[in-house]
Amino acid sequence: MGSRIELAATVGTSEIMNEIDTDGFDSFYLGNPFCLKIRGNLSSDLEALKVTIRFLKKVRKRVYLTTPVIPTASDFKLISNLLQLGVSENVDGIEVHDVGALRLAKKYPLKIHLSVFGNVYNQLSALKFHSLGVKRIVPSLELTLAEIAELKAVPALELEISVHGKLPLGIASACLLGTSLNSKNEKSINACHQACLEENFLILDGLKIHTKGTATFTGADLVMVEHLPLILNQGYRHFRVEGLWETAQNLSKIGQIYKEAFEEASQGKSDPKKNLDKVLEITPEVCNGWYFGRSGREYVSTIKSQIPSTK
Amino acid sequence: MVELMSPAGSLEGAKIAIENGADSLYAGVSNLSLRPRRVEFEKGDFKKLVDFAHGEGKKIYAVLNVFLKPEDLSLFKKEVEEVYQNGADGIICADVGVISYIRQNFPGLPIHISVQNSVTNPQAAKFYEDLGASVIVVSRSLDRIEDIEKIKKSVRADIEVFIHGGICYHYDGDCFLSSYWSQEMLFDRFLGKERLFGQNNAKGECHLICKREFTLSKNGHKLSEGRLLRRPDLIGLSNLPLYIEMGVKIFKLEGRAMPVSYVAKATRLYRKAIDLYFETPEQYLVPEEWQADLEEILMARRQYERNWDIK
Repeated sequence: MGSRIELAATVGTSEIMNEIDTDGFDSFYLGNPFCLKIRGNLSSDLEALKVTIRFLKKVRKRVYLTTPVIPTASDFKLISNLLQLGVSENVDGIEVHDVGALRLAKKYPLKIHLSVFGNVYNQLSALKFHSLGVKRIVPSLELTLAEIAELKAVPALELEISVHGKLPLGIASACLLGTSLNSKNEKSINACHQACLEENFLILDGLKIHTKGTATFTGADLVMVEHLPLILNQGYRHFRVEGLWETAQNLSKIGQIYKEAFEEASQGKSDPKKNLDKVLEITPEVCNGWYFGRSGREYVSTIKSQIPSTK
Repeated sequence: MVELMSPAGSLEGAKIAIENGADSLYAGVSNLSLRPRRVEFEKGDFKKLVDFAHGEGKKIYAVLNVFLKPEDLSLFKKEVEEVYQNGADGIICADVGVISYIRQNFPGLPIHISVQNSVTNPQAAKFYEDLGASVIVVSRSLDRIEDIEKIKKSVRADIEVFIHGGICYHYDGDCFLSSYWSQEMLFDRFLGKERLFGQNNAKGECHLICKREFTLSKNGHKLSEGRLLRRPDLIGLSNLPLYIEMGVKIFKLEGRAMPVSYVAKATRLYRKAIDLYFETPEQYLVPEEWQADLEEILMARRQYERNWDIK
């Protein structure tokens, strides 16, 4: 693995992109792969996407495009267009979530990233995907840090580690917010009211999760800021902030906090408590996902303070 | 002709499925299929099952459809060798590393792509065919007939449809709800060591979160409540002629973990439907008197969801 640290953010819409301070991030994944109906989704507005790519290139950021997460046959025209745009605008890579999209992407001269929905759980599949042209993967969410380390058996494959944000818990074929909120009026069922842009929670016996209509996300934000020294020591250099559902203001702040935290950690001068406190001012409910072999919603801390999680 | 594939959660269940008209059976290999341990087969028992099915002139497919954690790779390699030696007619699997390993080491063993792979488009079907799959099951969430037809037309591999059973809220293989909610390190008496319990994709320990009662809230206000994520069971009786005429080869029934009586009723009903179609294809209509049987099957599934136990 290279020695230079890369912190990427996922940004879904032109609205957020216009307002964000890009300084904290080295690269951006552009577009919301979970629903093409979301207002301002860069994945479905190729003109806006082109403008955004050019702006980011100008400010020397790396740019990755993303593709629909569970495409059906009718989505492949858009995927082709995204791939062509990626080539013509010389982006740094394309993220695929589906093996069909991967098969198509291989035909283009683009660096391919495979998302968490590639379900890479072990070195056998990491090796196979690498042989099929994948250059970077996000390991399965359900892997612990110790298990992710096993994937380093494929040295040419870049491993990207999510360090912050709302993690996807699943994708549905129908929009829950459309059907649950508007079911009295048939016209309303078919119209999208952009309800996913608001904070809608599903609650069950203390379990709280975000619903974004066609996708479900963690109720608590993944926060790994206090554990960055541990992750860096394991040799990883590519990290991501899942920023799809963040405001531009919060995403900008998170970028700055993590940028500083990575710099400190790489110099061996980490102050985990200070960094965690800064994050907690922005995001009150936190978790570590599955990295430490606990339920995804739990938060494991080495700092002796009360951490609010959803458990 | 088409093939009706029924679940075998026990030797008794296998016998009853065959008595009621199954052409083939699928059965889980211990610790490696996505169902509770109590309905999987240990080595000796799997051999008995194969011998029984073959004695009846029926096919038997082994299910090894978990996404393997690194620590499970050696167990998998041992088990797949046993399954091959025991004479299984094919292996149902999901993990790309597993598919690739089987193709390389057991070239004559047919590979069936699992529902866990959520195949939703022709390119994805071709991807798995390129890897060596001979049967591809389309996603259970794919509800547009034209999407299934496009997949069928794109590959030479046989196409399988899940014809009846409960379906998940999220696309199969892309759901992390269970382990986000709860997973813990416990002693596994089968493996003789501690391991994480509660992972859906990797261990098949789904907590059926999406079948439970949720409250949907926005800014603390309740918008809706009930079994909001529960999707209606798949019932393929009416669409059966469409599937057969487009060339679908295998019809799979769910239910390895269901009571034997459920498997018997579901198998009997779909056997009757397939036979009815082939007697008079142009006059196929689901007879009204089948409604009572169907209701019983649907009721049994709801009861099962309420009594769910992952052990």
